[in-house]
Order: sequence, then structure tokens, then C-alpha cells
Amino acid sequence: MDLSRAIASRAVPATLPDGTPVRVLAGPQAAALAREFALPAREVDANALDAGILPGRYLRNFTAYSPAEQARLLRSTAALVGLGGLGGTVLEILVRTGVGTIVAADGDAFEESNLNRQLLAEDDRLDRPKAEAALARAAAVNPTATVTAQAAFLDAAGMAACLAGAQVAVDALGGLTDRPVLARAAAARGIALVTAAVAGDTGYVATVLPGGPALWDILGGSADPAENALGCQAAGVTVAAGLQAAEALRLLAGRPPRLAGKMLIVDLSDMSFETVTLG
Amino acid sequence: MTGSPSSPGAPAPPVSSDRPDFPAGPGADGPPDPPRKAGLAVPVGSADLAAPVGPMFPAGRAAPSGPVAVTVTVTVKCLATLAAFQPASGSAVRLSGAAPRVADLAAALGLPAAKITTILRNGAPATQDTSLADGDAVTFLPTLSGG
Repeated sequence: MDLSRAIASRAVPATLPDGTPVRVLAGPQAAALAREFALPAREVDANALDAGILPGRYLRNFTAYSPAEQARLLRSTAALVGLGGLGGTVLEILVRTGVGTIVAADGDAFEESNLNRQLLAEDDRLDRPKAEAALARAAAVNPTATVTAQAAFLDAAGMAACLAGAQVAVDALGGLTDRPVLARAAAARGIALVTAAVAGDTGYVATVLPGGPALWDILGGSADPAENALGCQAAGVTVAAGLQAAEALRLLAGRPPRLAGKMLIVDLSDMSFETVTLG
Repeated sequence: MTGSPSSPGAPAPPVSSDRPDFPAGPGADGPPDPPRKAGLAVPVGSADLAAPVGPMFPAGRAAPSGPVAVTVTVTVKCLATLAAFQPASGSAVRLSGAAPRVADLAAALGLPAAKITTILRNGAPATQDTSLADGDAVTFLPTLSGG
């Protein structure tokens, strides 16, 4: 029996809350087929979607993503540099939504001061590598995703390698030093960079396309950035990470970005959003 | 855009360096703070405006011969660490002068140029020299880089 017939034979009819009839392939069935056909489970899920059969794991993504878009997500690769406040939440969202492959890196270890906001930071993980926590969390949430997490601070060559197979780069770095390096790596690779930063109640998210306006011209470089005085809190960093993930998912699903050449500024002190057109 | 040497159309710097020559913000090499022009600009609704606003050149007093002064009211938002410079009366600020600029607004707020990284006017990047018109919305940002 070939894979598509095997998938069809194991799918079961179901009805979505709005009454839409669908056929669903449950996770244990996909896992069994993955073993039988020696394929990654996400490839089984992608094949199911190709036939209009919805993996149970992604049932509530329907109709936010068409089956073709969900399959595209499963076959896509995101590069994620930084696994702190932004990166931990971006990873969570990408893994849950169904991005098939995530190549991540962060050379840092958790400190007690990370606990106020970083999703991957847990009390018993202090002094442990953030990359290790990322792998554990991703495997616990969605073992069908292929996630690598390098416990290293990447230099320009490391960033180029991290981005090599990716369709989007997510800048979840802290500080200013490495962000332009990552932006150049994304431009050299010819992929979009989705960047974000926060301080206190304020943050921004922006998408830089290769050849697009130079974001750093207007954001650059005080030696004393605002987060030194204001810190970063869970609500602000999670909002920024959510916006960043939404934009990365648009790109990975094959949709046009919403923030290309723009910057969305969020301020939770007055619950305002302002979109700025750059260049 | 904020005084950095590069422009959006400039070619990207080479990828060879691990440590980019990150463009300095206006705080690093921008012009010195303009002197505060007391009485030129006041937040709308402040005690200074308790009295009705009179004509710009009251009868019996000759108008100056230079450029005609205008009065514009702009809204301002000072974000993150700059929130301390937000007018206590709200967001509206009235500026008077021959050609009010962003620098005049910052001076009216007592906001030093060195603290500002990003200036936006009506949803687009601006500089200290950008002219202001009635109804403009200006946002001042410091450097944000937390993650």
C-alpha cells in the first residue's frame, strides 16, 4: 500500500465546530505511518494535507491556513537566532503552528533575572543552556517538528550557516551588536529578516527584505539602550514575539509580509500601535 | 534619517566584519541641544494657557518684519525612557515661530537630542530639522534592543 492510500485508510471523518465536514489523521496514526514508511512524521502530515486530510494536531489551524499552506509550513525552515524572551515565545508559536524545521541558536544560559519573562526559563533550569531548554520544550510540544538548537553565540559565518536552508530569519537577539550582522546574513541569503526589540512597555517589530530600507539607520545605536533602565517584562516581550511569529508564519506560508519596509511600534502603557513606513 | 551617515539607498556594508560599524544615533554625533525657547511653546492645557489666547500681534504693536510667525498644534508621544518628557497635560503641544521644527518641539519638552534615537512624524522617519505643520503627530523613541 502506498503512503497516500495508507493515510486515507487511517483518516477518520470529523466535523469542525462550524459544521464543516473534514477527514482527520490523528497523531498516533501519523506516527505509525512514519515508522512504517521510514519518513518523518511531519512529512506524513504534509502528505495528508496534500490529500486534503487534516492532521489532528493542526485541526484548529483550519481555516487560518489552507491545507496547502499548512503543508507548506510543514515543509518550511525557519532560522531563529536568540532563545531568550523573544526567541522562546517565537519558537513556541512556530512549533505549535506547524513549521516543520527550525534551526535555532543561543549561546546563553538562564539567569534568575530571565524568569520574569522568558518562556523557556524555569526555576530548575538556571545556569543551564537556553538551547537545551529550547530542544526540550519543542520536543514536548511537537515532537514531529525538526528542531536544532546550537548552544553558541553565532559570528557572521555561523549566522550564514544557520540561515543556509531557511526561508525566513527571525532576529530574537538582545542588544545591538549582532543584529546588523544577522541582517546582512539574511540579505546575503536573499531571505526576509523579521526583527523585534523591547524595553519596558515599548517594542517594535519590523521586516527587512533583501535590498529594503535600512532599518538600522533610524534605530541605531545608543550605548545605553532603554531596557537598561526599564528592563523587559513578560507582556511586552510576548506581544512583540507574537507579532514577530505572525509575520514569520505569513512568509513561511507563502503570503506577503505585512511589515516589509515598515516598523510596527507597540506601547502597552497606552495600548497603542503605530505603523511606520521606512525609506 | 536621524543623522547617520548612511541612507536607505546606500549599498549595504560588506559582510566581512564581525563587528559592524553600527551607525551612531543622533545622540552620538548630532547637533547640540537647541536652546530652550521659553514662552515659544507650551503644552496645550497647561497653566500658561489658562488665559484666552490673544491675537498674535496685538493692536498697537507692529509685527516683526521677518518671516511671519505661525502657531501650530502637534501631538507628541515620548516612548519608553522618554516618557518622562511627555507633557503632563497630555499629548498636544502648541508651537509658535517662523517655521517650527522637530527640534523646537523637543526643546519645548526639555527633551535633549542625546536621548533621542528615532524620530517619527506622521508615521514616517523624521529628523530634528523636519518642519512641523498643524496637526502633525510626532513620536520620539530611545534605543530599544531588549529581547
